Amino acid sequence: MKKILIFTVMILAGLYRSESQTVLFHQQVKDYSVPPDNGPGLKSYSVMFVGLGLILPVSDTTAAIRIPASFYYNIGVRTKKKLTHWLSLGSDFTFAYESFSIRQEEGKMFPDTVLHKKQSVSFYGISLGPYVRITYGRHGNYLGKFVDAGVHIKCPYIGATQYSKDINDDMKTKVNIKGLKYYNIFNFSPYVRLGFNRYSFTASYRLLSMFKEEYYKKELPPLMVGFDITFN
Amino acid sequence: MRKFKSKILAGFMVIMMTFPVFTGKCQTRYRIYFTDKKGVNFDPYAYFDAKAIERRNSLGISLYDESDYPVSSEYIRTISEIVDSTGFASRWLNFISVYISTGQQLEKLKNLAFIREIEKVPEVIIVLTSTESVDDSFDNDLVKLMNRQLTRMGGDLFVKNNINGKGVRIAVFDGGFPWVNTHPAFEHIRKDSRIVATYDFVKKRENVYYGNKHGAMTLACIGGKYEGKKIGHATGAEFMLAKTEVNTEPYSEEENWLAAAEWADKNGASIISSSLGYTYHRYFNYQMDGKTSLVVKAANMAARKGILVVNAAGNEGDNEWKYLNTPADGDSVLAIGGVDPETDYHMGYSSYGPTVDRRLKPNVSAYSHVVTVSKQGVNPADGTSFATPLVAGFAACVIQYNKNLKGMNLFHEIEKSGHLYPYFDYAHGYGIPQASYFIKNDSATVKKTFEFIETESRMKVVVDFGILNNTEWFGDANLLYFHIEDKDGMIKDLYVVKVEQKEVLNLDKLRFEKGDRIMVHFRGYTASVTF
Repeated sequence: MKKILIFTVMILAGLYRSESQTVLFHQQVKDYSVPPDNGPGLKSYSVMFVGLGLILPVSDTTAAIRIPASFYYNIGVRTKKKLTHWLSLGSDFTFAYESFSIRQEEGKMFPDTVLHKKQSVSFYGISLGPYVRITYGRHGNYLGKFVDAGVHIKCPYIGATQYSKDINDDMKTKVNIKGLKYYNIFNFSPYVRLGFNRYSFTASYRLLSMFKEEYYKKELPPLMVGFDITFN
Repeated sequence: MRKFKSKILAGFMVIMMTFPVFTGKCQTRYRIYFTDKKGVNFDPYAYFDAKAIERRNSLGISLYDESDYPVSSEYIRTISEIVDSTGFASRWLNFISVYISTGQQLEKLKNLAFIREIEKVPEVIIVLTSTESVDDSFDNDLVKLMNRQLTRMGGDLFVKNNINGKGVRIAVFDGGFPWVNTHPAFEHIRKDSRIVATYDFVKKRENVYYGNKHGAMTLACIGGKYEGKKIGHATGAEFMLAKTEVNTEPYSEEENWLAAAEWADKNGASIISSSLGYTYHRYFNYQMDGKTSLVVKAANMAARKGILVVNAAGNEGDNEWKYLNTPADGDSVLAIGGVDPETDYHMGYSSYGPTVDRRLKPNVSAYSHVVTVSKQGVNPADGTSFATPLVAGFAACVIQYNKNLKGMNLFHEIEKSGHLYPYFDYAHGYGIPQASYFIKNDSATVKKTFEFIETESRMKVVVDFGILNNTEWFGDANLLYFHIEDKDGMIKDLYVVKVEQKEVLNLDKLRFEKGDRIMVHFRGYTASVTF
């Protein structure tokens, strides 16, 4: 009983003490003369980004696609390690979705010769994109203006879908074929990026064929041009 | 393999098309600093305005200071034969800006004996951060706030003594001054032709009545008057308006600020009010040392010429940067923090000190939620941008009241007039300047309002509770400020506490290290204990 009484008195004393001051404002001052390591213009930095862009035809030898219905978007994390004030190395870890909307016209060969109302082939996968960054113009703890050159290693694609839509006698038919087997699960695309702080323009060009040799009928356009934003 | 090669080629072409910057001729801006000003003639009576000469004479500054001499025309001529084009030449820092497009030009310049340094000039972003609401109605709340932003500094004392900054010349640097030539809040200034000079340092012309409204808003907080009510203290001052920036967040140059400061000096300004600042776009916060940026060199030089330079501390307090900007980091720049009129203590966004070399910043504070001009009338606006002109206007009134106070003397006296002085911290500086310090000289009448009571394990601060009934105190009467410094004088923790009972603080002594000092301020009285 005595212990309980002492404990209660201590609690009440503690409450009284905590009520004796109402702190309206408190600031703990850190010594900022020591440069921090992590930040947009500092030794290392990681940031989320999203990108959106178009797939563009560059020659007649590739399958005819519709623009801007052929597009990509991606989301990922971009890391950066500063080597010097101007030179950095980094990598993108990306989930990407690419959709090729196939133009339905005479002579069409990809993915089949049948003409549909609409038809598209989509791929979604992850990629690793190491890059070299040159930052130009003086900058503080700020990404500043930069040029990146790197390679997206798209390995492996984690899925692919072939979609077609037809309207016959007022009947709509949609066909979705998943788990396509005729594409290569490994590919790589050199890319360049021209950026200003959060915003950058990107262009990439796929170097290898999208499809396995035995299924090869026609290649898909390799050039992608887009825009991305980082959340710094 | 052939197919693969052609794809590599196509990829390379894409890269080249994406980056024309690699292939085009590109001009780069440099500053060429000279070793001396040999053979240069200078007539101060022809160069300076009478007010500038008066300021120099009153402060004992030589009229023949070499830093006021022009840059050698011989050097400029030699340089201009090498470079693509030349730009602003600074007397104070003895340099000229040039544009260069080839390495050979740079090599030729390096061989000239009269060149001390060649500095590449970056593009830079100026921050004029402030927010403004859009309701133009002049309601009772606005009148109250407008009144309070002045009376909190003792503006009513200035009015009683007929002090309004008359005869004092204030240079305002900003991103543009639209409305100043039309808005009724500036009618009294226009009527008396008290805008004595204007210059747009971006477009090199006199018209400044366009661009960013920020300049009009800050000018109003110095000397505006709306429907007969004062917005700023210095409604009788003379003004010089310098447009130094392009837009709210433009690419700009610190050089414009320097050029404007030289112009302000030449034309007799006693005060520079600048609500501009450079932060993370170009600098790291550990570079806020008062000597790195060009703009802080310019600001310190202006102070050397006897001008009081008042600059906003910045609005980075609640974001990652957190600390003050440059030129607020200058040791001769009066950096102004923001106080919330609702609470009477630190406004969350107001940037913190100290400087990297641990000098106290901000120096003083003022309300940063204020009423200022809008397109049609007046509006509330937020930012240390507006606390700054309130202090600039205050300083003009002080100069009018005591003409002997100028430059750094004025700087230190304004610090001493802070409502917290001699208490200071990195959020409020010495507090809000008080006109009563100058007019009533009431600094001598400080009453003890609390005492330290030390026990074996605790350090208590006990206030004289009866004093809380004293309603003469202005502002929030129940705020107690305290901070804890380390043995080197660096503040580790700072607090504002609401006093609700007699024993305000009861601190465990174990939290203090040897040499730590606790400094407390309550209602004008400051005391400290060292452990």
